Amino acid sequence: MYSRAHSAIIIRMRAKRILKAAAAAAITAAIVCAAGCSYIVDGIDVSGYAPVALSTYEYFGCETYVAVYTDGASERERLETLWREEILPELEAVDRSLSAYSDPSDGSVARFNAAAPGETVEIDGYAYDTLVMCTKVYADTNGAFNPATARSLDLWGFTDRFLNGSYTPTEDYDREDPHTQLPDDEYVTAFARLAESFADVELYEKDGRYYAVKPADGSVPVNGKEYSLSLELGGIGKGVAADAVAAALERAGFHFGYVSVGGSSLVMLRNAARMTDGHNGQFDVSVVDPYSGGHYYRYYCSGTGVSTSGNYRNYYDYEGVRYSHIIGTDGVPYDTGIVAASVFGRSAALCDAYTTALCVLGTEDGAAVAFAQKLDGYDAVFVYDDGKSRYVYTEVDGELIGSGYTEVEF
Amino acid sequence: MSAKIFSRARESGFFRKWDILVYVAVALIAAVLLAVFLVPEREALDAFEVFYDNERVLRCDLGSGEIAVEENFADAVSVTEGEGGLTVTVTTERGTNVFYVDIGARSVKMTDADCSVSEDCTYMPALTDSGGSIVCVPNRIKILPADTAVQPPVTG
Repeated sequence: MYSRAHSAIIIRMRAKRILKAAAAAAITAAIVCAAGCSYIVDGIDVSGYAPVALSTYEYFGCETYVAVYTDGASERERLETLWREEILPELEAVDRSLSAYSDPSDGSVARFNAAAPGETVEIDGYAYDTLVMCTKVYADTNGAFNPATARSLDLWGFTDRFLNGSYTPTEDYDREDPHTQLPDDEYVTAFARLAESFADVELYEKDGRYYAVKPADGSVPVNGKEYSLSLELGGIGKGVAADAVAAALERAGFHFGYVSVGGSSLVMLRNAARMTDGHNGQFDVSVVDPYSGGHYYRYYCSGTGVSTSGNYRNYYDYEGVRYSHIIGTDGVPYDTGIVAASVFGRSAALCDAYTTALCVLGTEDGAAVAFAQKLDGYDAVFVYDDGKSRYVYTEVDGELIGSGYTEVEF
Repeated sequence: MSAKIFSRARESGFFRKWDILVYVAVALIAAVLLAVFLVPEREALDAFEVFYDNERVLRCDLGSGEIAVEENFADAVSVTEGEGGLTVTVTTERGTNVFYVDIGARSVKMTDADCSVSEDCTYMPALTDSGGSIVCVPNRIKILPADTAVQPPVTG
């Protein structure tokens, strides 16, 4: 017969065995799961999901690439139908609406640009929503993000006619070789002043239709010719497109994958291939190194927009100075030392606008850092080059993988 | 008898010697498996494919140096053999792209294009592993590691 104390010891020993078995089972389960057992997300087993990649070069002068994880032939077919019947038409509509180069009878921004000062033009919902965002970011950045720099971009040689090889001098301010002959100062200052009148653009909605009013004083005279306020939404348009495509995918029930519009704007949904390995559905997003063309930073994220801007795309160097497609508040291509900026946050469109603003704001008086810190729900990483050293300023939870940089956390 | 059991139970901790070995082995297996899944796979480039407007033009096996051109593009591709590498020219209705295949270094680099004034694609780094890509947007030419299911997300 066992005593009560004796029985207690045996119970403790059995409990230990049970605990050991449970621990072994838990570890085994973790291993099996890591090796790819079924994983249920929102009631859906994503372990069998396979990627489908779709791409088009038709819009925004870049490749729009979509990778979606889905299950089975019927879902793949449904995705391809969505791509063909909904996403491509929507990309076409966004591009037509926001492009400064559309036919004014078709495109909202082109119509606004063609309008006379003081004129009211009807615009579509894409242009309205985008311009509402623009006015907010313009105000928040004291004009560092300004979508009304179309005249300056043309003056400095960054519009379509320069890029597609068809350039011949037609405007009064044109030069034979715009990349080795700098523009006259009177045009630079006049167009900078013109861009400031973006603050006076009025937007309103009436009976379900949208309107924009070009400011009555939205023009400047130079050498006897009037130049009116013109928009160029290249600093936000790709982000708008990325958001639109991601929203279409989510509406249709495709929650795993990502969208990239030219690499400058992305929306990361969830990564079905990384649900069971400790990544919790995150993607590794690599950020292009502005010097080597490789990658200098890696960020882990899902459910977020991503955008990058900088002076290492669409630029020319002349007499040791870099002239790029982002115009500063003085009407000159910006030269603040921030050579690349990326922002991560809910809206790819706002990320896009914020990256442009960061480049223009620069590090003087800590402007870029102060602005980035002010952004609620948006994180930034940017490269600053003071001519002697290269720094990576970051507030994001990522990994510096480029060489030759000093990391500065803020 | 009861005193013996009592004493043995007291001496036995939660982990005995053999238990610890088993747990260490299990932990090692788990670590190896996790490492396999967590570390991004960036293998050396074995083969790459060239696409025009998302249609495959050719596949190049860097092990054998063989280039298999799709029938539709038989007239669009020319290959010149050089010392240690191949110069491949792809001409489509949108333009011409030239890239150099370094067999020894297992890499491919766009060297020339008539795509635009800036020729951005020729400044892109050589494709050297399974994680990159080279894209010429105006000419709609893309070079990818062979059998790439999903392009790794890149912003810039």
